[in-house]
Amino acid sequence: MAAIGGGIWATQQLAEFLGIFGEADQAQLHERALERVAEALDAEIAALVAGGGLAACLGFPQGEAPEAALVGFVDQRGPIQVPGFGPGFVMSAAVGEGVVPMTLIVVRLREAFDSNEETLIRSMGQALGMAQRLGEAMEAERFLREATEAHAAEYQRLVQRLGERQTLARRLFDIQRSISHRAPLQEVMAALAAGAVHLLDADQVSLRIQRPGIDDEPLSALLGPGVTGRESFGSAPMDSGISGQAMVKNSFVIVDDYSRHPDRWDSELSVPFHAMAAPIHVAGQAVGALSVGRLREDRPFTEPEQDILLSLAEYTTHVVGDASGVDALRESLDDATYQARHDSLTGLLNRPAVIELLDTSLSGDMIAMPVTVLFVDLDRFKVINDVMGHATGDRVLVEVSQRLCDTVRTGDLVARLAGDEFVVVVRGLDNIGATALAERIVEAVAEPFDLGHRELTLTVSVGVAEAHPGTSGEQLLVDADVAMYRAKNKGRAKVVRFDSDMRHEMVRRSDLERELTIALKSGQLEVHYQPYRSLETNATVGFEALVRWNHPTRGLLFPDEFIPLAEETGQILSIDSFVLAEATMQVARWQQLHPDYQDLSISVNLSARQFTDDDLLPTTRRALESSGLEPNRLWLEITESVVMDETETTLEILTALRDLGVRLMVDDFGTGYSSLVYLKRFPVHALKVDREFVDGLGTDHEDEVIVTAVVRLAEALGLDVIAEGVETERQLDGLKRLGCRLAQGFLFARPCSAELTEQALRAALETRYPLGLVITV
Amino acid sequence: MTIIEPVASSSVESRRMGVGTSMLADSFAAGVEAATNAVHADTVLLIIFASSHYDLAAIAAGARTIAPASQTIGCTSAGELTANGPTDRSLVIMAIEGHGVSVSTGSAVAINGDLRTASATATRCIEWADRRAHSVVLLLSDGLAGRQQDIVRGAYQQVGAEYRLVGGCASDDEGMNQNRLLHNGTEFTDCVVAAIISSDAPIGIGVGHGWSPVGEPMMVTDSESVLVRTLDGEPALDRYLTALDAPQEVWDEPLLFSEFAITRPLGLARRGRAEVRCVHTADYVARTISCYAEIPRGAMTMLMRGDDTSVLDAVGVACTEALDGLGGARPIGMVAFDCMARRAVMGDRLSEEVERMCELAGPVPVAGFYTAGEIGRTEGPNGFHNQTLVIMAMA
Repeated sequence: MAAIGGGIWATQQLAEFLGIFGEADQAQLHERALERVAEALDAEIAALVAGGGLAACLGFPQGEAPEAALVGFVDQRGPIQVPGFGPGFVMSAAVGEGVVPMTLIVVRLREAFDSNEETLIRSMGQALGMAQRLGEAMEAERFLREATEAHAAEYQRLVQRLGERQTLARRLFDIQRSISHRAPLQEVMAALAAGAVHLLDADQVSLRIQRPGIDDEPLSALLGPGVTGRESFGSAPMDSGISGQAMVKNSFVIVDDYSRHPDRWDSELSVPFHAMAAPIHVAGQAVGALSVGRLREDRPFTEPEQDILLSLAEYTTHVVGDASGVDALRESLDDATYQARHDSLTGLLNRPAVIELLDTSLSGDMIAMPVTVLFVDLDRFKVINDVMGHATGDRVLVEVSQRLCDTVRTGDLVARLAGDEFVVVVRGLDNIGATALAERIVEAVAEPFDLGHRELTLTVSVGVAEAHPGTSGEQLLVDADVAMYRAKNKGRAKVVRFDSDMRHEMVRRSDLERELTIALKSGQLEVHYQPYRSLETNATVGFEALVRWNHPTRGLLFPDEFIPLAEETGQILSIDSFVLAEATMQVARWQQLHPDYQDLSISVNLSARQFTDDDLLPTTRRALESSGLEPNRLWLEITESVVMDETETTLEILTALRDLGVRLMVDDFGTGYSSLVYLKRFPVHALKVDREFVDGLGTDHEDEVIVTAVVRLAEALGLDVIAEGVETERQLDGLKRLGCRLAQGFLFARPCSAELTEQALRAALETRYPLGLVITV
Repeated sequence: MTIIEPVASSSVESRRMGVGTSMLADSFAAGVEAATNAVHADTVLLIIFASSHYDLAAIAAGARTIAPASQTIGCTSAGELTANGPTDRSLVIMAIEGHGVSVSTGSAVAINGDLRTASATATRCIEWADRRAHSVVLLLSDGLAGRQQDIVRGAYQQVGAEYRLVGGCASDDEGMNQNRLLHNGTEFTDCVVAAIISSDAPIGIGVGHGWSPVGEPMMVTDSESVLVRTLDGEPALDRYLTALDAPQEVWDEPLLFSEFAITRPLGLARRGRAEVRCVHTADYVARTISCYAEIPRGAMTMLMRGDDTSVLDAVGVACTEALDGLGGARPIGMVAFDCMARRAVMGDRLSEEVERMCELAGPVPVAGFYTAGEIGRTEGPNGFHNQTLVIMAMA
């Protein structure tokens, strides 16, 4: 703009820059300062670097600033390569002289900075440093005051400090006015000297410059309280006194007890006790200095006051023009901010970042297209980690993340929450579209993974949840997570959409979990007993212990209503322990009723969770010791899946139980992926034929074949066989015909309470009739 | 009325822009009518500018019966413009269509007038945006909410220097009561709406105002945001009127001030140029003046001079710059953000404005509105304007 030239423009921009110090609080200071620096210079990028890291930055998308490259720009000046933009120009400047060195970095893409602009950047750095130190001093004093309940004088100093920042700005505005109104340089210098007297409470101020090739005589301003104006520099050469030192050394100089200083004072004014001076530059060369002095010994210049003098000197430099600097170039790449928001393994956004993004897009202020979350979880990933090692696991995760990114639409967002949990956030897709995308993801992940030495096939379960008004990011993730679990329960490689019933189910399950905890503590759990008979003698030889929950409002609950949940929550461990203790105690008691009962056995179901718990063995031992039951009268029923896992731990536990004398029975035999190998390897004593096969005895040839095979197998291995679920005479005849020796089922007795069972036992003694009460519960 | 047919780009990916207008009284019906002319196929964004008597949500509902898959943004205006010329009490819809362009939108309400945060929040839709070769952030804001300069600051803070910014501030037919904005079918006030437009073909942005500084500069010695208390240490109202040698009736009659000031903006001294700041009201008791955008304390201001010829010349500046930004590619349409104060300066010559645009760009769809603040950032972080014409041209 023609009306305002370079030097004046720069001084005006500095004055405007100082304006923010009266407005921005300490927390916003850096951000606002960078903004104003960038705006003043039309610079695309501005940054503050402190302690080798990025303290603040403008010009890159939030969280994407190339920290290492910007840190590399410290002490740089001139052409550079800007990451993401290409060629540009940088200028850096020190920010004050604080404890931690801070540097202001300014980058403009299309045009180099001229000398006025470089000086402006340096001055802005100085001014920002001063504002920062004043702010910090105020904070420190505020803390001190609060901590020590200091008196009014300290408070007064605090207020005064606050005023210093604003006064400096105001004074500079005044000086700026004289410049903008084209006052002669001599007048501007007088204004600057007056400003210094006021700001620094100085007894004397001298400002003296001589621009080579411009000024024949030094230009000077000499001021101070009591100074008449007649005093002058006399014949003192430019390099004399503290001002001369500052100019010659081209640096800030401060002297206490000037009378003892070897240099003479540089004017006809009285020699001060404390003095300091800062150089003034033209075209990078020191051409003069601004100095101030105080006569009284007890009033040394403080650090903030030294900052003010430096700022005033920089400001004076603008008035007379300037240029200086050094060149170099360094560049590298790093970005701590990026890392804070991204998963280091896959480079995807992480959980906090995705929740933040979801919250923003779902906030009440922001209405946009439908937002849907796809919660993607790898099936049986733990096995890969355990069996193939974490390095392979990591490799698989990276490959999965890549497949997800390749499968989603442009603009969809893929993030990794933790472990093998990924989410895909999509916008603008309806239910059908989102489900279709989820199915594409299932298909994409199902393609074999080439791990070099082998191929691996993986599946994922996907839960799909759509945001509704008021849904938070966290809630949306939870909804999708719930749907994903439902998908897992339906089997692998499934997609399930969340609906509100699932939330109700979740609430219901949460209530149930809480109630179950109470039930365990308050004795609401009961053990019921179902007898099993010898098909040879028709006598009851033992009982299966079955847990029931006598719920205070819902009545008697069967295991299928709470055991699956207890298995998920881990409460199953407490339940199993309770049943074990109760049942062993009870049977031991019944053994005492009559010598005919002394061989009664009890079988107790163990959950798979027990085999990952260290307590199983001590719990069993404790139950046997407390009840006095012979170990060989305790049967522990384990499911096929437990033995199928075939881990060393499982084998160790089962062997230890066998060594304890306890007998082990495989429950529901034939329903899983039965393997003869484990029957040989594990210390199993009996097999229980599942009711599914017993059902078809006498009517289904296939079932007959299976039961026959199980019985023959048991015979060959020397194992007992118990048939469960016997309900009809026809089934009983079939079992007898096949040579099965033990059976249980409604045909003989339903499970019933300890009390009723005992009544039945006593009654049987009287009638000498096999225990065969049929009790409806 | 001449219907400008949608123009398709020459590339295989067939980007198109189409424009439609309506003056029907019923908002829904007007939305249907305007969209019928604007929409061809594969619409990704409908930009709606409407007179303040319209219900924006109803317009959007009507328009989306024609382009159901499209996103919608828009605002109320102080007059609308198309290639047929400026209109009042109408609505104009610009459709951006085709496979070579994609759009991501966001919006946020400025709580307690905090436009900076609202703008940063609205532009977070960058996270969802396609990364095509050429992108701009189109911003619409409420001209009555907060410090308008902060719209650019908030967006710049969020998206950085890579994205150019373009847009304008809503008005309510200059009523200065309540402006409304539209984002995907919902109407807001005190809001910032953002659309990241990413295209395989160039997008050009041009800015022009036609004002130049005169007289001695004045130092802003006391100000707070848009309120200027003192200039050169004197009450701002007195300094401003004195510098302009204002007629006595303006000194005496506060009601005449706005009309007087709208054609006498201030200029903020910036690097190599002056940024125009529209003065809109004065407090005759406190002796202060208020502008549409921030006047920082410590800044140097100047009186700005312009007339119908100079502000019309700015059309050529803005339009040429926008078309140059296409790198020689043929434009498929233009969106114009034109300060409502320029209307007052152009007076009877208002229709020449669009004529000049069409002379330079050829027969392409043009949609725009008269604004209460304009946004055009191509270099550096600055980009909020007053009394300015900003044009976005797409290829």
